[in-house]
Amino acid sequence: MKISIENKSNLRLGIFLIVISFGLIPKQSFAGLKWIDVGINGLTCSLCTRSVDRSISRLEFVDSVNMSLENTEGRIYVKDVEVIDLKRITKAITDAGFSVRFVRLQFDFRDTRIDKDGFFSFKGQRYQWLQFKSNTSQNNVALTLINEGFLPKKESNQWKKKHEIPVDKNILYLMHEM
Amino acid sequence: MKCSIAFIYSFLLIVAQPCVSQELFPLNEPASSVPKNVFGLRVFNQNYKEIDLTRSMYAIRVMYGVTSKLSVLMTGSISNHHDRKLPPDLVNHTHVGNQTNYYTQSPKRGVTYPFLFSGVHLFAKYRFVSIDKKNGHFRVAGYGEWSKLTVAHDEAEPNLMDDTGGYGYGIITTFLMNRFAVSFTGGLVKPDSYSEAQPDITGGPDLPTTIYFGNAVRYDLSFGYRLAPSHYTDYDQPNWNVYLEFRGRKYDAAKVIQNGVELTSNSIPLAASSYMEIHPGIQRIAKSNLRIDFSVGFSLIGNSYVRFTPVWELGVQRYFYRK
Repeated sequence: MKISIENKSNLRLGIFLIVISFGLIPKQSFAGLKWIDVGINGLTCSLCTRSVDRSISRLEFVDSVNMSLENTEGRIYVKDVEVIDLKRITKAITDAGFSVRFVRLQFDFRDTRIDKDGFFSFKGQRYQWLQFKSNTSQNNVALTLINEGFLPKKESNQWKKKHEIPVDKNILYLMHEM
Repeated sequence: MKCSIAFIYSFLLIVAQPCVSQELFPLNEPASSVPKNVFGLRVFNQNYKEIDLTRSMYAIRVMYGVTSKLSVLMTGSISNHHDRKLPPDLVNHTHVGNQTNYYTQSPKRGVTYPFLFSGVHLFAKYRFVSIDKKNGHFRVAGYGEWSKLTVAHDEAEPNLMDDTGGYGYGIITTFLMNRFAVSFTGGLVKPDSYSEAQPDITGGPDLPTTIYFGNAVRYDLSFGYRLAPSHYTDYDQPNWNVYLEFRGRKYDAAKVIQNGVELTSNSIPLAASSYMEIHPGIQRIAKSNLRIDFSVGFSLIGNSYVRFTPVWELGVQRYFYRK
């Protein structure tokens, strides 16, 4: 088939637009876990923040980290890998010499099945979404981890007591709208 | 003294402005740790005038975060503070009839000494209390230090890093609030003695001579403030911080034993004493990593005999993160 000059131009334009549109896609890890927000306590300077940034960035499942120096919070984008171990993120923060204020997961559950009690598995980890209601929107939902290590100890204990959470160290417990 | 009062006044004016604290003190270690598996390198220099010459010390320090709570620091230094042997005029004598009485006297000041490798200093701190809040914390660490030096120190005050061998231990307490950072370091210094064979000033064979330095109590207080930026936006913003550090020491008298006999001391630098210095300082941090510190120390109460004031200190430090 013969392609006219005009068609060639359109083809080039089409390729150009496809390439550009890939570049414009908002940065996200993948469909399930869009990003992880972490709050860090004890940070007082940009040098300390940088240490936390470098400590988290070294984890093999982490794609990138954006730290907010003013709010002492970080947004972590993860890679689409087999296992995402969130405990290693909290360890990276404590290894840098600081404490975890919160860990919040931005989930999109369209590709993840949640049972009626809020249990689901994701990237090698079992989770329970506490007080889960099946009619709750499951797209773009922010869930905060309440296990010890993911919140200050006192706060974590308060949540556990309040919701009478069974102690199962293999499960990470999540709360919506904390 | 006037200069130090003027600086304190300026400092108080600055701290009346709202700003965020800093604990990266030029002179004292905070209770916080070096991040785990991170290496740090610090190069620093201290200078002061002694009569007509300048005494200088140059040091290089390697830091490492062994765990999230345990940090170790190793420092090597060179200086022209001392010679390899004690000053020849440290011991003098009088004759009473046929008896010769030996005594120590203050050695002459302003004598030129060569630059010598002083030795090594090891410091470890373990953070055992951490109460962290958003933009603040309260932390307590215990520290231990040890040094092995080869230079001949001839003053009572033990100074582990570049004057005296021995060990020390203590507590560091660091507290930060939004506008205010303060750190207190309290500890003890247990110095090693120094021995050599000194020439007998009466012309006899060399005499075994040992100086037992006094134990010391250390009480240092540091304040720090961030002047700029007023709001953080990224890692590339240069940071300007100001510091005010008080350095306090109280130490026992040194004893000089020569040929098994304790010599009468007529030496002021070998007597027990105490002092407090004030060290205002300024710091720039580039790219959230490279620290450049500058401070000047003045006598506030009493005087140190290990160095003159004002004492000028300059330090450059950075961390090296693993990929």
